[in-house]
Amino acid sequence: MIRNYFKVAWRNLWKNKLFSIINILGLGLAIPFALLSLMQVQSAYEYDNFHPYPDRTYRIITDVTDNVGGKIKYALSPQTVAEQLKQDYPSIEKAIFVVREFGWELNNRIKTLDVNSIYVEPAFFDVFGFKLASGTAPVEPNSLVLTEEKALAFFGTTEAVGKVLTHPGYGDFTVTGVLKPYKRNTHLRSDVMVSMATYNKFSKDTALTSLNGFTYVLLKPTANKANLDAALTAVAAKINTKSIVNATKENLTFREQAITSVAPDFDDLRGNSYVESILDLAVNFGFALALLLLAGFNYVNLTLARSLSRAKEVGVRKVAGALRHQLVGQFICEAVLVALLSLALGFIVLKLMEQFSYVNWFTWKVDNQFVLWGTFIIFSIFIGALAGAIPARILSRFQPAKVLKGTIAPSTFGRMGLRNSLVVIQFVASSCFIFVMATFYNQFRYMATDNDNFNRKHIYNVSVKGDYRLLQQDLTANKNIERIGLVSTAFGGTTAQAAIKKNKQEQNKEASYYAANAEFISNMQLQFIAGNNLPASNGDSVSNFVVVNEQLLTTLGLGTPQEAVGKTILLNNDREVIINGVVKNFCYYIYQFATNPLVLQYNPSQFHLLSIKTKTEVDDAVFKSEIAAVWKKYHPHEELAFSNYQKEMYDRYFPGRDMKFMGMFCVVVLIIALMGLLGIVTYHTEKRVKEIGIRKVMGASVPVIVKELSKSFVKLIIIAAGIGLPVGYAICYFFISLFAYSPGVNLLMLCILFCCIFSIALITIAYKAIYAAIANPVKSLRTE
Amino acid sequence: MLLELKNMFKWVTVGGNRIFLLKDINLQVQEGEFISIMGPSGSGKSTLLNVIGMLDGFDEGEYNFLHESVHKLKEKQRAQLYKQYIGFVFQQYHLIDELTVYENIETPLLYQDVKSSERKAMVADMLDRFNIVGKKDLFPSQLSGGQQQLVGIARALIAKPKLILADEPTGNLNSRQGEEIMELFTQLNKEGVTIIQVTHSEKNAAYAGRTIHLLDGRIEKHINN
Repeated sequence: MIRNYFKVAWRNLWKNKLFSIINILGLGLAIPFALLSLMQVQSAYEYDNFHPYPDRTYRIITDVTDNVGGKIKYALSPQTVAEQLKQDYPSIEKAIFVVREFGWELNNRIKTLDVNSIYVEPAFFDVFGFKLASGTAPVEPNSLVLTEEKALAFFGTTEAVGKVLTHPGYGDFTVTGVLKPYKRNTHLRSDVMVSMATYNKFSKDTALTSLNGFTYVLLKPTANKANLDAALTAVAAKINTKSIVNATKENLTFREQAITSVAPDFDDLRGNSYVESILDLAVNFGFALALLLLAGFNYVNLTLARSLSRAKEVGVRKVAGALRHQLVGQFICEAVLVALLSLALGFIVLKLMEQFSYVNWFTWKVDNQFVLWGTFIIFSIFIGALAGAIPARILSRFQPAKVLKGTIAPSTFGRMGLRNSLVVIQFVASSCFIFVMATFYNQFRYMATDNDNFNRKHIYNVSVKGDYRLLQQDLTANKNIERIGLVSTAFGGTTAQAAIKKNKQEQNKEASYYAANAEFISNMQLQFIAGNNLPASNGDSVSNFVVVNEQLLTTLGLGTPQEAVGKTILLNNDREVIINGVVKNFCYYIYQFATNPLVLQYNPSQFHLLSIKTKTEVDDAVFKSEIAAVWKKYHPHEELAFSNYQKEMYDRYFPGRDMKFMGMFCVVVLIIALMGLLGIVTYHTEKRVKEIGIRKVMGASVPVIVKELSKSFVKLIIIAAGIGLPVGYAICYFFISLFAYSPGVNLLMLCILFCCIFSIALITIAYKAIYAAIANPVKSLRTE
Repeated sequence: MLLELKNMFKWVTVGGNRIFLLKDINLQVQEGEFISIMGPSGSGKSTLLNVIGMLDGFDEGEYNFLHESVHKLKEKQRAQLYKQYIGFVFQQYHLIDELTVYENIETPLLYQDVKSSERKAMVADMLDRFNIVGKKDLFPSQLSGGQQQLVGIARALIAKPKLILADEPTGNLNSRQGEEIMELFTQLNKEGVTIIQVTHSEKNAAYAGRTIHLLDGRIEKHINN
């Protein structure tokens, strides 16, 4: 029986290729997003499954009860727990402490990269499955190991042992080892693992009960959980008595968590970074499900719109003795077949998505393929059954006597108003979505290519250490070079800070500080609104003249730019400097933030970068080799650190992968909306086939009929436009206002986009309407 | 007695007025009979046939089929009854376009949970009998009207029904094909199958043992041929 169902289903799909393609495409485009979130769920359960002693490794988590009885659960614990467990309890083989610190960035003079960091003890590498590819674990203060990926990013090679990276606050770090690539699905995910000695050196928070990090224990093979529980109770009691003495009123209790059940987080623990809570997973899945629901709704709509062609079959089968549940089974089989085909397509789409838009905040791989495919298939069958159930119920209701007499209309579900509003909602949602994406694209493009704030064109940055003068002089001989500027760091990255005030009596204010020379300012083409550039200088001493931005005048209350020129301010409490020029406010840091006060000062000891402006467009490789030749003379043992500023900024600001992913999502949402429209138009034209026939016999021309048929749908689309454009504009405006520097919402672009959506919708309508209008009326009017 | 209709009425209400489709029908059909139903368009021939075939209900009266009171049965039991005892033949053949000749004939057996091996034998017999073995893998659209109707009849007969209901079985066929179908019906009747057919043609009606003339939903006259 089932075989027969599938056979008929397959032939039906084959016979109505267009509809099958539309249905399979619609579901097949929505399914990958659901698959992706299924993968997230599965991978959440496959967290931290690569450690050597999964059955004896535990994380200690803390419940904090305050004096009024409120309880907060933390994933963290105090540093002392590990120390005590290690010293006093024989059942514990190892106890280690790990601290995660956010907001790290490291630079190798040329490149500054954000890195994800944890502090670890040497024993960390015994307890967990992180292996070193080369070098040793970090032990000494200011030493670290890093991942191969970051080693490549910083040094272009994985042979990074012994090299130095600089942290803006903690100084230079020696790389003692490089990690083997490890599975991303671990809550200990990090780019660099820094020695705990570093943490102990810089940390100021030594309070006994501060929850600074994570404690892990490795039990002895002979010990059991009860030993650990007892130890934890004892430790908690000790800490709590001490803390009462210290007058903190909090009461700590510790619990253990097997390392394999750290994720997903059902407890909603605080400080539980890189572990997805069950709620996050649900929300994520909800989005995918909503998309799938829209696609499923279209399946229902389209299937019912075509119900007439199935009616006869239902009649004949009923006459042949089919019971209703058997017919329901058949139609559900058909939907399941569509869903399974969609799964096949969806999987291909998923692979393509992975290939072409590797978005790294998703997990694209799971360990257990068996479970994965099991869930995929069960899920598809479920979706198919769900989408098939409504049409199946309705189609199987046909009365054979009526069907075989030919006196029925295509069936439907819900009220017309409901389905019309669903189509409008689909269009409003998809156009808003597309608007927002386009606006973001616009913003990212602006950030990636902008030359209004400071000039990036024809600029090459060369990182220098120590004495740069000979190199600088030699380079001036290059005929391509127009000007060589000197600066501490390039615009667009992190800035150094300086304290400024009008005079000694006042409070210090914070300002961004760049050591720069006059040529650098010319290179950046900053706009002076008063005064002049820094005086040209080649000396070794710090100059007393500075260039500042407008914001600094506002912050310090120095009056108009013209008045401010020539006034003095106090820099870093000790040096009086004279304002030589005022530049317009511009974005030199992050586009989201409003401008800070800015000071540019000639300060040769802090110059780390040559900002070279070429006269015209030059070939990167050729130019680099020219520079490298000169560089080699002065630094025979060191690699030249060279970058094309324009490209570097583009790479930094343009999130190509994310944009691609979101773009794909846009297309899918739009296609689904179009299918919804197609379904409803098909339903209407099929219902009016007879009317159209009569109109034609009466002498109506094709264009008149097309107009008649399209009228109500065009109205729907216009309503969607009426809602979508203003709502979309408002949403875009909100998002763009998160950026202090932006090109604004491009209304023209939104209108053009909407026209595109509108015309695609029109083509969809016209296609169906023309098809119906040119049909031969004799056929539709013949009754047998 | 195979079936009996007693004082049967069927009506629809249009604008508050009852329009009778069937009016006081009394009819007894013995096993092995061959009956023709005639009458002008709209006289209720097809309605009567559908009611007898349990595809349509009625509003008043009694219907007994093999001593079961059809009007008292539930939908499901009724379906059980007709799928066991009744076969339908239609003017437009009503074959399922997506199925081959073989599968079309097989369909009723699927719904009666006949075993696969048995099904095979039964369908093969039927194909043999109607001389359409060579066409078993063709789809309906690849057959002529006469051949399609043959398949239709084969499908009606496959489950070995006691009663065949035929709604203008020759209406879409040319006269030679029509004659062949009527010969076939006569043959089946001789083998003991009861047949009730609706027809417009005097000539076809004459194949039957008796003819019932309907007019405006009531039986006008019985004629024994």
